[in-house]
Amino acid sequence: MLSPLQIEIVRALQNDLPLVPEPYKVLADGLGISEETFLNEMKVLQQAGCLKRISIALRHNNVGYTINSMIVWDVPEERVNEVGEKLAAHERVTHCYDRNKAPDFDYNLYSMVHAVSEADYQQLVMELQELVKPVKFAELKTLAELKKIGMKYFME
Amino acid sequence: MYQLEAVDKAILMILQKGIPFDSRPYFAIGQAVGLTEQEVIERIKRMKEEQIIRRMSGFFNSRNLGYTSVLCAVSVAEENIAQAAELINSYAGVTHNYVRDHQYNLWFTLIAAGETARENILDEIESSPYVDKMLRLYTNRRFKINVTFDLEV
Repeated sequence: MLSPLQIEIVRALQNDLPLVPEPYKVLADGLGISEETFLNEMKVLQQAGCLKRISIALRHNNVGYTINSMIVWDVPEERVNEVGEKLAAHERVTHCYDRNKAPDFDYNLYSMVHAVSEADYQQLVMELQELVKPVKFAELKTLAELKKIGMKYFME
Repeated sequence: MYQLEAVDKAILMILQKGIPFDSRPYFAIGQAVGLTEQEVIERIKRMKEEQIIRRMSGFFNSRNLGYTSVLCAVSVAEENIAQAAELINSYAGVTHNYVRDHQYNLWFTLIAAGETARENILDEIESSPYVDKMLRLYTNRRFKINVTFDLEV
């Protein structure tokens, strides 16, 4: 359970970090606490597994990664952990999840990849197939991005 | 498109790994890439303006904050995509929504404060006249989430 102060800190950190020499001091001032307390609570939140890091989301289309695809695999139950770990270990896989199958969507392992060209993408798919084979899979390329935001927690 | 210089890519690689929990984080980054604190700030500002950086803020583990998430797919007739997307995107907890090359053509993620809230939102979306079918794809195990792009510095 987070303390009221920790919730305030989560709220403060989900806005863009100020581009000033002492950004955490600005946020701490906003909450009426010292910068030292603010930084300490950040470390506590990180150790608790709540705060992963302060980081950026890139517009990957604008740094060359124009192909985005979700590749889904139908992996036998007894191989899910082995194959999931193999896919996760591939440096180009950004997300890898085991999910429940649905009646007309017969896939359980999900992997997300981003590529800089069609050739790069085809090569990547081949590499992943080598890791996973021999199972049924499907490629669901992104055709359009309709929404992409960072979640704002504790706003309700 | 803005042409990234080598030092911009070096800054982006550091930012992707994580901004230091340090009183002067931009100074620390400047030390690593050979720039002053002010130069680092200016370059980050520029990359935000140039639509390279979407956001620079905290990344949280939703489950450890007490939230629950789900991936959903819906099949929507081509002519109804705009209306369906408007409804889906209206929920603050919908963080991603993509058109994908599949019979289930809209794929979105929803983060909610509890299972009841989550299912209520999904029920509302599923009952929309613009939505034909819905899949609720719950996570059994998360093997990886690490969105770091190699910028070949």
